[in-house]
Amino acid sequence: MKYVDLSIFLANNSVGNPNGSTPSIRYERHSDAYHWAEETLEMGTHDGTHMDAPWHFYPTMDADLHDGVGVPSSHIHEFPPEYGYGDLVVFDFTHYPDGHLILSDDFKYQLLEMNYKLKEGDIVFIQCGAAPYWNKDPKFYFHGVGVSREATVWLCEQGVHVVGTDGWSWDRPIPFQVGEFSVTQNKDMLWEGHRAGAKRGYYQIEKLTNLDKVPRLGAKVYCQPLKFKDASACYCRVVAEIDE
Amino acid sequence: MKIVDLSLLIEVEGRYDERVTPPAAFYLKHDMPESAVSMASVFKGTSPEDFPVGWASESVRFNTHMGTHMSAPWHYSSRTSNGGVPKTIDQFPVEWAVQPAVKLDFTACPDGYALKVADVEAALAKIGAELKPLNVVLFAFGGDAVKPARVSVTAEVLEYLAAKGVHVIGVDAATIACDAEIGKAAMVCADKEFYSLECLVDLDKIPAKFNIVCFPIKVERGSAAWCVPLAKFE
Repeated sequence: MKYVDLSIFLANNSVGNPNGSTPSIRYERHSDAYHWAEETLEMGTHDGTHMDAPWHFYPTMDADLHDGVGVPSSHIHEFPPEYGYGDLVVFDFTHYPDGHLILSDDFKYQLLEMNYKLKEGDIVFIQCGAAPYWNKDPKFYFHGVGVSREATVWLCEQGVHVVGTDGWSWDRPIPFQVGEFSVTQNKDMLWEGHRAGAKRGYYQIEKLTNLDKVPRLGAKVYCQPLKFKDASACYCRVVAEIDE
Repeated sequence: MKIVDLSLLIEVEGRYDERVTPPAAFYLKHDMPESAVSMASVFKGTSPEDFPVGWASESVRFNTHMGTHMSAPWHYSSRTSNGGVPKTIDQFPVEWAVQPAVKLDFTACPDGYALKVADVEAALAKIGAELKPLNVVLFAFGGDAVKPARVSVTAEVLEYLAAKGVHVIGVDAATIACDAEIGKAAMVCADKEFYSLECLVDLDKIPAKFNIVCFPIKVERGSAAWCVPLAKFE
């Protein structure tokens, strides 16, 4: 087996988050007064490579499965460990311009190309086009494509519980959403990929890396998040496993 | 396939090793006015009224040795015996995290007991296990997972494991050894590149032989990082 790490660091001076935010790590080094090394991190639960739970998106989830009335959303500590390992399917959307909205047809087209049908428990990652900018461009979060509510719900309907992106957000970069909103004043399209969780609950990994180093089909992936009680997200070490 | 999670839930009100700063957190919830304000501050060009329901999010302060975690050789010493620099948690080879594992039962040992190589060999013989390189070895002491070890994984035991090619161990305690033994054991961890899982729970719910998945979170140059070790078995 060969393993490919798909996670970025939790690190000081991280470049690419909105408002310039970064984890802050205080290092305590070995000394006479301080025998061991240890660290204290101050950060958001959405820093680094992390997994969002339905609770991040909306207070309720799964309305589509309960006659339109949702149930309370799951938190990250409720992530079922069996969801954290599965067949990985990677979709490449790097040919699209920043801000492009991905529809279910985009997934269906690439599935036809790959001659593959999604099944229960598959884990779907997208190359959104932002990856080269992480930790280089302060506007990293302006780069890449985003996934629509319609496509997100469609993935859930195929049995997918975990999705991921190498961008800042599963949704389109914010300027593209706000630009459209300023014209339409349609509040429903703001953050629509995330809000899809209200219809079908799902888990979502953001700020992946190295997706160009794994095959589009045939790898497996590990992605168990930390179990932080009642939280909207937590840190996740994501590693692909390739049978050679 | 059965999966047993060997980690503690991370919660602000939880119990922690008293030598470690406990976690602190602020929970932003959908119905707080600050939530829509937070969204509007990120969605530049919108106003809070555009978000009738906000998002949930949290800001936290986590010590790297809080809760269930993996300590790196660097935690144990700033220098190896021959002047080298021990590895940090971000240098942990990911393939070491997916391995066959054994659980050695030392729950019957008296408090303060220092394990000998003969004890480990007897425990391995009892479960019919032979250690292979990179196997993960968990020690069940049966004490409080957030208190210092009741029984010691000694320097001599670590040297024995190192000779077998073992690099990852785990304990159901906040340290791998009692105060009397920790100094010597720590130096072997630094010298022989041991990564140690600490504050494991539910070792009584897994068989003696199983497969483990134990990737630590990637904290740059960390002496440790949090981990959710999973035991998998038929």
